[in-house]
Order: sequence, then structure tokens, then C-alpha cells
Amino acid sequence: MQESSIALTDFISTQVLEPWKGIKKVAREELFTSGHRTCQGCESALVMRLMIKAAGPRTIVLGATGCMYVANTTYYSTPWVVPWMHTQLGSAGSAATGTAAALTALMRKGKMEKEPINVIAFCGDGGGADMGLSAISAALQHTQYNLLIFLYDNESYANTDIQVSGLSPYGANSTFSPPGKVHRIMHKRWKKNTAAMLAAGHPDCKYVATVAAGNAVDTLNKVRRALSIGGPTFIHSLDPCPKGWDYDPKYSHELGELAVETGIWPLFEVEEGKLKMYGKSKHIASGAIKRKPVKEYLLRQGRFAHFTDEDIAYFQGKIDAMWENWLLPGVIPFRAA
Amino acid sequence: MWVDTAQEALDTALIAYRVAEDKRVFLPCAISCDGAFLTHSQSLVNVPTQEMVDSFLPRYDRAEKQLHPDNPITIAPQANEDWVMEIRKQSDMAARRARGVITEAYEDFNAKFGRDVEPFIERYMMEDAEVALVGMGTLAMPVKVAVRKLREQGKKVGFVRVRWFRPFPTPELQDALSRVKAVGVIDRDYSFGSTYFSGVLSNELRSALYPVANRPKILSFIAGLGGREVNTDNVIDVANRLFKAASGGDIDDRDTYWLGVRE
Ligand SMILES: Cc1ncc(C[n+]2csc(CCOP(=O)(O)OP(=O)(O)O)c2C)c(N)n1
Ligand code: SF4
Ligand SMILES: [Mg+2]
Repeated sequence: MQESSIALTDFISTQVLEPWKGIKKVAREELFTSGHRTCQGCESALVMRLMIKAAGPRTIVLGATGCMYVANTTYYSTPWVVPWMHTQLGSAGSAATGTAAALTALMRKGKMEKEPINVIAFCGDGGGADMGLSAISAALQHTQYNLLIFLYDNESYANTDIQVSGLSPYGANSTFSPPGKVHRIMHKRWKKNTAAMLAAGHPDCKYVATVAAGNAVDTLNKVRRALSIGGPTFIHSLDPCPKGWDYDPKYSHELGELAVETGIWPLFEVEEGKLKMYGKSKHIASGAIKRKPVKEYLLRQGRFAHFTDEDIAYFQGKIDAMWENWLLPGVIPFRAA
Repeated sequence: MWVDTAQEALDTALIAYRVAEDKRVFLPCAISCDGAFLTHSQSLVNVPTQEMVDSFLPRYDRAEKQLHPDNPITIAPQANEDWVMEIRKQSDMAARRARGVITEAYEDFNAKFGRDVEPFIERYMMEDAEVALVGMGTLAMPVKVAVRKLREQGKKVGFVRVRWFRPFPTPELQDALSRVKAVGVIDRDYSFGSTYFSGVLSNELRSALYPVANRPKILSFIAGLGGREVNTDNVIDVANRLFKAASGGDIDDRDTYWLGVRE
């Protein structure tokens, strides 16, 4: 009995990945290289590159169906330098849990050398926040395993040609919600507050963060923090997608930044129950800087081209409420009655 | 594969792993046990020792596919329709190789476990049979009883039980059934709208026997759906129709007959 518990702590240790202080300190090694065929300006592809750069070579990556599967790992080509495996759309959570459990079992039985190996499962907004939400929730309860669920959010089912997902923004034009003469706004659901929901709903999960790849060093360090702290963790990244959002590919970063500056995409982390806003979101929350009008973000994208002043005002009102009325501004909407 | 007894279910599980995990095959294998008749009845089973099983069944080893940083491979990349033919051809080659691997597995199984099992089919009183019944799974129980009863009356009837449905034992069935005059297939399944509205085994058999020089008449029967009992009277009924067909009697072999349906 005693022996096995000693062994247990031994092999569930994590890699110690110190934060990189500044861009010059970032590892040069690329673990996501050529061999993919994503669209020009695809932010998600860059996010993959950052994610695995941060994690380092002793990592296993599992990827759910979606653009980051189909456009990256086409038969006979792969950009992944680390071991990589596909998993079904909706099963990032179960694939991560299964892989982490298998590594633990193999190491316990002495069939694999004991070593902390990072397990990351990524999923899109469709595969993660819609179809795979229950499996992610289950993964976040398995505190005995070290795994990171990384949700890359391009705000649509992009790979199958831009259908609405539970994370598509209000009113966006998609193949499922084309604006027409009679009904201008076809998609009326408000985007799910996914990262905060998972953080609030899984109090034993030690780390949840939101990122935007425009803040590259922050993004890298959030991944490194999640993997170092261990247990099941979750990171949600907002990824501008030129094809689905309809803008010139060179503006991907700019749009990501605007999403933060308008307050639409709050950057925060919840570490062991403590919420920290960071980047520009921190200054928005403290009142040090003012949010830019959402119009500046919306009207840069073809998917909102049909918006009237009234639609923009509605959108702005929802974002204002998020920062002015929510219990924890930008994060937790409800308050005690 | 379809199995007939609890013992065969156990034996076949060992054989199925051996075949499915063989690198020359590497295809999934499914074993079908008739629900209730087999799965919910008691019978004595000879359980082999771990050592015996280990000597027959190599360790599951997919080392080359292990997900590990020292083995940085990409598993299950996205293959589009452009690759379907090449990938299907690989499965085809594996399915063809399976025949040899199955034969090998039974030879080794028979030697190590002291059995004498024919790999793909079981032949029961077929040496001098003039008509034959064909079926799968637990159907063997009532059929064998009926065959013995009919033999007591001097009627030359035999039974062939198909063990492996895939790969379909075409040469074995051609060999076993080309010498009889009439074959009665009892399917415990039904294939909607298929040729003559038969079950799957009947039509597979029809095409397997098509090139045979002395092709027997093939009568198709459906029975025992949903676990309904197939009794010896049903089987004797089938055999009598076969004898009639064998002697040139007026019996339509382009139809399918249902046994034991409540009207
Ligand atoms: C169970 C299942 N349903 C549907 C599909 C078809 N499909 C493949 S990729 C995809 C889009 C997934 O969207 P998301 O998870 O947001 O990833 P993205 O393509 O946007 O990167 C869909 C619907 C599938 N592969 N599996
Ligand atoms: S559709 Fe969007 S997410 Fe998909 S490859 Fe293109 S830019 Fe990237
Ligand atoms: Mg998506």
C-alpha cells in the first residue's frame, strides 16, 4: 500500500516549465512546422505553433476533428514534430483522460519509463464547447491526471464551411445564419461564457485561462503554467479566422487585439481559485483604460456587414453589461439576489 | 464468426485475437453469440490455463504505434476520398491474407489444445449426404438432433455449419456442397429486399455455389428471428422439402420460406 502511494506521486509529477520573460527568451525550436495547408492568415495555425512551442518536445498532442485536424494533418503529411493523434469531434476530453490514464498505468506497471509527459488535447469551438462539453467537464474532474484541454475558438464550425456554433457571436453571418431581407439577424444566441463556466463549474481544476495569440508571450506562458501546475487544466484561445470572419488575412492579429480592447474577449486566468485579469483586460477592469466601441471591431469583418446601428447598439449594450453589471466584470455574470 | 457453444465462444475469442492482431491481417474481428440460447444458458466450459493461452496468443504489441515522445508519429491523419481506393485495397489484401492466417491459427490451436476443429466450417454427417442443411450459430442444436432422427430412418441428410462468415468460406462450401442434390439454408436473419427476399447466408451461398459444376438446388428459409425457438419439427420439415426438391419434385427455389411464423 505504502509503496504504491510513493510511486504514485512519483510519476504524476509534471514538467517544470518556467515562464519565458520576454520574446527573446522564447525557445527557438519549432515543433509545429511546415506540412499544413491552413488558410493564409489562419490564427489557429499560429496558436498550434505557440501551444506546442510552449509545451516542448516531451509532449503528446491529441486533436479533435476540425480545421486543425483536416487542414494540418492531411494523409501523408504532418506539421507535428511531436507524437500526435486524431480523436473524434467532441472527444478531446475523453482522449486526454484516456491518454493520461494510459501513461499513468504503463508507468505504474513499469512498462514505460517514468517521466512527466505533457498531454494536450485540442478542440475547436464546435468540437469543444458544443459537442464535447460533457467530455471536457468529465476530464476536468479527473484530478489524478495531468492534461490540458486547449480550445481554439474560431467562432464557427469552420472546417465544414462556417456553420454557427455555440461560440459564434450574436448576429454573425454564417452558412447557417445568412442575413436576408425579412430576417436580418439569423443567429440570436449569445456566445457561451465557456472558460469562466468551466472554471466556476470545476472548483478542483487548478488552472483555466483565456488567451489571444496577438499576445504571444502571454499565450506561451499560460500554456507553460497550465502544464506545470498539473491536474486537468483548460485554456481557451480566440482565433480570428479570415475565411469565417471575412477580412483581409493580414489583419488576424489586429482583430484579436481589437476583441480584447473592445472588451468582447476578456483575458483572464483562474489559478487555484484566484481570478487574475491580465493584459489590456486588466486595465479595462481597473478602469485605467476605456474600452473601444465594439463597432470598431464588428465593422472590420464581413460577417457583421449587415449590422445596422440598432444591431451595433444591442451588441454594445451586452458588452457594457458584461463589464458594468456582472459580479466579476467580464467573467461571472450572476450575483446574489 | 458465429459460435455454437459456450466452449466455442471461448475458443473462438482466443483465435479471433490471434487473427485480428496478426500483422498480416490487422482487421477488426467480431464474434456473434446467439443471445439467450447461448449467452443465458449454463454449460460446462473447459477454461485453459494462462500458460496455455500465453503459448498460443502472443502479447499485444503495437510498439511502432505507441504514442510516446520517443516515437513522434502522426496517427490517423485525414485521408480524403482521393485515397479511398488505395486504403480499401490494403484492407482487401489483409482480408485475403486472413484465410491463411486463420488456417494457421486453427492448426496451432488444435495442436496446443488437443482439438480437431476445421477452421471455417463444421461438417456433420456429410460423407454420404444427398441433401444438406446449412446454418450458423446455435441453430446447430435442433438441426443435429433432426439429422440424427432422419438418419435413423435411413435418410441421407447432413449439416454444414458456417463458422466464419468473413472471409466467406467459399472453397470449403463448394467442396462440401457440390456433391449433394439440394441444400436448405436456414437464416436467422432477414435481408430486406434482397434476391428472393432471403437472409444473408442464403444469398452468399447462392453466389458461392454458382460456378460449381453440379450445382445443387438451394432452398432458402427464415427462422428463429428474435430468438424464437427453431425445433426439430421445423428442421424435419425443411429436410423433407429438400428430398422433394432433390428428386425433381415441384418446389420453387426462387422463393424464401418462413418457418414458425404465427398467422
Ligand atoms: C461527429 C461528427 N459530426 C460532424 C463532423 C463533421 N465535421 C468535421 S469538422 C467539423 C467542424 C468542427 O468545428 P470546430 O470544432 O469549431 O473546428 P473548426 O473546424 O472550426 O476548426 C464538422 C462539423 C464530424 N467529423 N464528426
Ligand atoms: S477556415 Fe479559418 S480556422 Fe480554418 S484553416 Fe482557414 S483560417 Fe484557419
Ligand atoms: Mg471552430
